[in-house]
Amino acid sequence: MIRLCLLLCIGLSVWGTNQAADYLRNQFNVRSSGMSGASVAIPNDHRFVYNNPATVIQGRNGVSFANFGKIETQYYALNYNKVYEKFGFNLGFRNAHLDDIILTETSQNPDISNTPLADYTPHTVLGSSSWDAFVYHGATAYSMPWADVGISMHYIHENLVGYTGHAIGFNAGMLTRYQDYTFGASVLNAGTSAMRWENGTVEFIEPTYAIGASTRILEDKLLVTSEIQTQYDTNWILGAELQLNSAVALRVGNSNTNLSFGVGIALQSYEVSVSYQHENRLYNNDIFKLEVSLLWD
Amino acid sequence: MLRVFIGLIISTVAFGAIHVQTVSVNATESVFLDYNKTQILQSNLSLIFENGLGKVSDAFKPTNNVSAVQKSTFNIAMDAARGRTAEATTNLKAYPSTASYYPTDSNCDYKCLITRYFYLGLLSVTGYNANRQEKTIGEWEPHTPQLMLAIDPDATQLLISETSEGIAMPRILPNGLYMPKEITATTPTFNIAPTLNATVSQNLASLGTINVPSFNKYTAVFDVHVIGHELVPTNHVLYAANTLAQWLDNQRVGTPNTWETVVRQLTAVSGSALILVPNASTQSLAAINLSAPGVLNGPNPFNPGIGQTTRFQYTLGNDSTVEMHIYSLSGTKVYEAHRQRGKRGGAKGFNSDITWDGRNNHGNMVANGVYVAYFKFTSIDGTVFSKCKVVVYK
Repeated sequence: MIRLCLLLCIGLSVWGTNQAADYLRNQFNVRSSGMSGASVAIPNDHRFVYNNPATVIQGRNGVSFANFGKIETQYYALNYNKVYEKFGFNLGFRNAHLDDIILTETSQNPDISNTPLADYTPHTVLGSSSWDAFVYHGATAYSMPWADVGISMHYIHENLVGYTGHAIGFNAGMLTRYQDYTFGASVLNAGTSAMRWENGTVEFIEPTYAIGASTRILEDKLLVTSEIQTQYDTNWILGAELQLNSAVALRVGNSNTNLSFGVGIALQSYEVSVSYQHENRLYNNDIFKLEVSLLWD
Repeated sequence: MLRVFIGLIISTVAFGAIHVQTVSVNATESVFLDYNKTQILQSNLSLIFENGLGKVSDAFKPTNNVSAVQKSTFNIAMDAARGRTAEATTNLKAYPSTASYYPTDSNCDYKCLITRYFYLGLLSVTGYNANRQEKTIGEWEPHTPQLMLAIDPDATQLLISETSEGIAMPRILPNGLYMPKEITATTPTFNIAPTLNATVSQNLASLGTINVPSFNKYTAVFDVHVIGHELVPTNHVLYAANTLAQWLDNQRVGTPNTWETVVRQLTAVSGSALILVPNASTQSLAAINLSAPGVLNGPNPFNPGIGQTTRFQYTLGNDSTVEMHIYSLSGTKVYEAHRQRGKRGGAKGFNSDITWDGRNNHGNMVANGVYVAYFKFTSIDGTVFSKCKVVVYK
């Protein structure tokens, strides 16, 4: 079965993207990053809200902040979670920032345009600028007899070296338990989201589907999870978390794109998670992430 | 807690709104840091100031003697910044507390102080000093254009205006990316101007016991000749030409601003339409070759929706195998290109052969956004990496 899954995953994988807001594919939750991005079917942690809004109801009250850098870009994420008896809500935002983008234009001088490029510079440096993306979300989840279900809405605002674009998207997810297994499924940007740029260009964010399962073994000390995420390519993830004691957890994961490790430390109301991902597609392929959470009941 | 959270959200939005509107015109910082060429820049600007600008511009003319009766406006501005008119080599640390320029290098005489004041002032006015304050600790206060205007208004005015002779300072600091003609390793056929022979001799003398080198590196920028001898790394010659090119082409249009201005500025550059590469650097040729070439693409942003392509340019110290991989910000590779060692795009010198039409390797046009192009250069000297950020906006 596993072999079949692997073959399916590799067969579905394609190379390249023409999707808007591609950066949203980065995993903002650091516990998840320590397990190669597994996030859709892990119970009792609202910080997976970015990938499955149903997790909101299974978490605690708290604030979490995450930070990491990848491909010249700095990412920040902050979310606040509030849980009541039968429902919960989560508010948060994510920011991506990249600067020192050198702006140039081709020389407008007609003499230059007829000159071999090796003779003169083809570019005129205009200065430099930056790119920013802000993603704001609101999520809510309800506890049903058969499952926990959640929905969320997000608003994306991008500033691309002075050009702006925005989009609104909707996500949905569910978590359910059967015997010793937790099953989860989610769809992000359900029905396709449209990114509208100020010049009238409209681009689309295709839905991301995820489905997975998790269970605890070894007297509940070891969490094992597996899931498949698919957008324009398919990513199969296998992750595990070993709870050494009440304070320390070790994580490991593997996927089509990365090998990951992580550590979580819980001290009273505080939790700190760090993760390391080795991206096998990149030159600068070592990615470190940090998340700090303040949680209370 | 909710209030705190909402406050954080609001402050972040406000920060973002301000931040995203920031477009600076001087942020070639990373390029300089990559190149580690500030020493060469300083040498070249000093050469331009002492041999050209200071000779033809009354406003900038440096004075050798501190007690000279008639000083240039720039000279007077420097005295005001130092808060004293005494020789620099006496009581070096006796600057008043109001001084904004207080160098203590005992090897720097009065004329040298003015040259350095020009260099530091230009770097502050163009914004470059703002992020390298640690480099000028103990001698320089006005690190930003705003501070320059507040502390040294007279000098600032000179540095941002055209002189009565029609000479304008660079609006953007030379950054090593404005490449002139490809350098040719041939002995120049013209005669070195007599006025610069002394400089040549001085350079040769500084080489000690080394045999007299031949001047075998030559390039030209807007008809101004740039030569270097065999012991000067080729990249230094290129960078000197680069500095000169950006000095002459302040408008960044690919040609000198106007011919009349050029004639004046040519004079300002060297006094004889010739610039020599100073032999100041101690970097070895091998070290230079191993430094990663800076890569620039243009136009940036570009619009593949109307058929535009963006072109990548870089200068190689040696024939190299070139790999380019373009990634989206999620880490997805969208395009790659390869060039063979010694062939187009992989030959020693200036290259601008690689282009990208905004489509991935499946032929689909990519979405608006930032893409990072990673370059891998492999030559006999080893492997180095470089990168540039490509903006697609349709």
